[in-house]
Amino acid sequence: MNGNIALLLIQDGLTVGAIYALLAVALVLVFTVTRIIFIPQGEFVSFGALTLAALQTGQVPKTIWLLIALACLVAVRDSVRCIRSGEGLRAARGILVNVVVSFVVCGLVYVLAPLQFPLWADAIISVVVVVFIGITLYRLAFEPLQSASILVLLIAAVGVHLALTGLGLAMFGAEGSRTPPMFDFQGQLGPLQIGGQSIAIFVSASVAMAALSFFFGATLGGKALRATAANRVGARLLGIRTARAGTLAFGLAAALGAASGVLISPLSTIYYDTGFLIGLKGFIAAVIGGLVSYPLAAVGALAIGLLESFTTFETSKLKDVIVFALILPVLLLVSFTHRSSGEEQNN
Amino acid sequence: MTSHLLSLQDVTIKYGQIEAVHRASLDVPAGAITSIIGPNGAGKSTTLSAISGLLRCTGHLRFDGQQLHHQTVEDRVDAGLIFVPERRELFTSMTVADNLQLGSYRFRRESSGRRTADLEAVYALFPRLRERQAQLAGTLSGGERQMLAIGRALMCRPKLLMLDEPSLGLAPRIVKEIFQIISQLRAKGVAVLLVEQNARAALEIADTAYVLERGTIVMNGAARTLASDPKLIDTYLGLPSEAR
Repeated sequence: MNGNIALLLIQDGLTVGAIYALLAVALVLVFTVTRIIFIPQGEFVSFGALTLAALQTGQVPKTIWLLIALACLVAVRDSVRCIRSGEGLRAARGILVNVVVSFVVCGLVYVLAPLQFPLWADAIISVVVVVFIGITLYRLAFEPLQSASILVLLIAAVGVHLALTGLGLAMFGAEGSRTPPMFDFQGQLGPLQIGGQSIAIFVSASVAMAALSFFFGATLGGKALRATAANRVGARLLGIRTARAGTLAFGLAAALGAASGVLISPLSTIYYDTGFLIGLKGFIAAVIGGLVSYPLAAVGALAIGLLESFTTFETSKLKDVIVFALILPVLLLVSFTHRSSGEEQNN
Repeated sequence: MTSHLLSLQDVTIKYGQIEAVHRASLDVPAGAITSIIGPNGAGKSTTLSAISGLLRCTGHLRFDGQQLHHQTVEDRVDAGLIFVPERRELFTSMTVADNLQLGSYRFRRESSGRRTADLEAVYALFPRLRERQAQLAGTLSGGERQMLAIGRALMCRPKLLMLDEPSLGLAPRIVKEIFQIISQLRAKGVAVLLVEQNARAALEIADTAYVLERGTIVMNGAARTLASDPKLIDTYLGLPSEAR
């Protein structure tokens, strides 16, 4: 390995690492607000990328049917609950609004899909669709479990992951797709070729992190999310609706996942199950951040990206083994440095 | 109907099969301090939790002219019914200023001017909180935590403030300070529902009081009358010399 190859590997590693960082941040976000270890985060990557690929060929993406199905299930569930508890019109109006919004989004996509918009517009549409899927998933699968233990939530998350992978295969088929690059720019930095897509990924990741840290650090809405994570009962007693906080967290997580998918799809072929592996690597980075620290998770993600890129060069067969083995020393270190307090009391 | 701000009628609260409070009825008038006193485990905190919506109950609950039956905790907060539980439920990993600001979450759509004025009012009431505003809430002393919990509740602009054992675990000097502030709140028109084990201190500042024993209200009336009731002195108040 000479210097040039090393530079190339570093560039590659940081690009992939930035994607992992987006996912790791989303996982930390979901966990701190809802206590869910969100295994299906990676599915949002596949869904985002493959929705974009469908839109690019002028097809109606099948993800909108998924969204409609989920929205209808939520509506039926809510209606039954509403009738049983004898709640009145106010609840019924909320249910109706949710369904109508989902149908409007899908209807718009259905009408707009054959028009073949430029890539950036399709990218935005893809992210929006996936965001609505994320929110509806939360309402359907996790909202009724709000006060369940972390273990129950994890089991639900695994279930959702399995369901989404299966649905992904049914919607997109076994073939992968790749989208054209968004930025044809090719820069030269010394001996290094820098692709526009790598720059786009890095800039997007940085902007997303900066926006999130502003949101959580300086806005009342962001602080309310942190408060929900810190103390659910305390938040409720101030009128912060914790279910809405979960919806917001899932919406943001889905946006980050779909954006990752849209950004990475010009660089590598995405299959219906590609996202899972990417998501798992994001999860390792999130664990490095203790599932609470955004900056540590982001740094961990970049480290994983670099490690992966160098091991791919040295021994490509073992790259996943080495990357996933990284979690062992991390867990060992954490178990020595943190006093275990068992599962936190749920309120 | 009467002009009571909050009224409970035949309210029964159960934990599973076990009845914690049995057919309790009580009224809280506006602009006054009402106190619930009684021994440990009588159901005082349970009653407050049920009024706040954290626990379910059967019977009639009316607040400010509205039935509370179907309203969530958050709806009740929006109506101005604010609860400071015994555990305070602060956001320990956030700063004092953040905790207070979150108190005004339900006014987030208002211009920031009024919210800042609220914050200044709380700082004026508790100067200690202003000194500590950049500190994490988890690093505060017990008394400061209680001040923060009450301050945060005041940021919600309560119509009725429910305080559960505000004196618990605090030094007598701080207790005195907290009770003084509770009387000041009444002067500002805030109704207070106060649950206390420190019955003597509670009866000193309350206008009316209820005595809860094993889930049943056994006595109620003007606080001054209760304070001189021989049976009550015997069981809860002890001899005056013993107090504090």
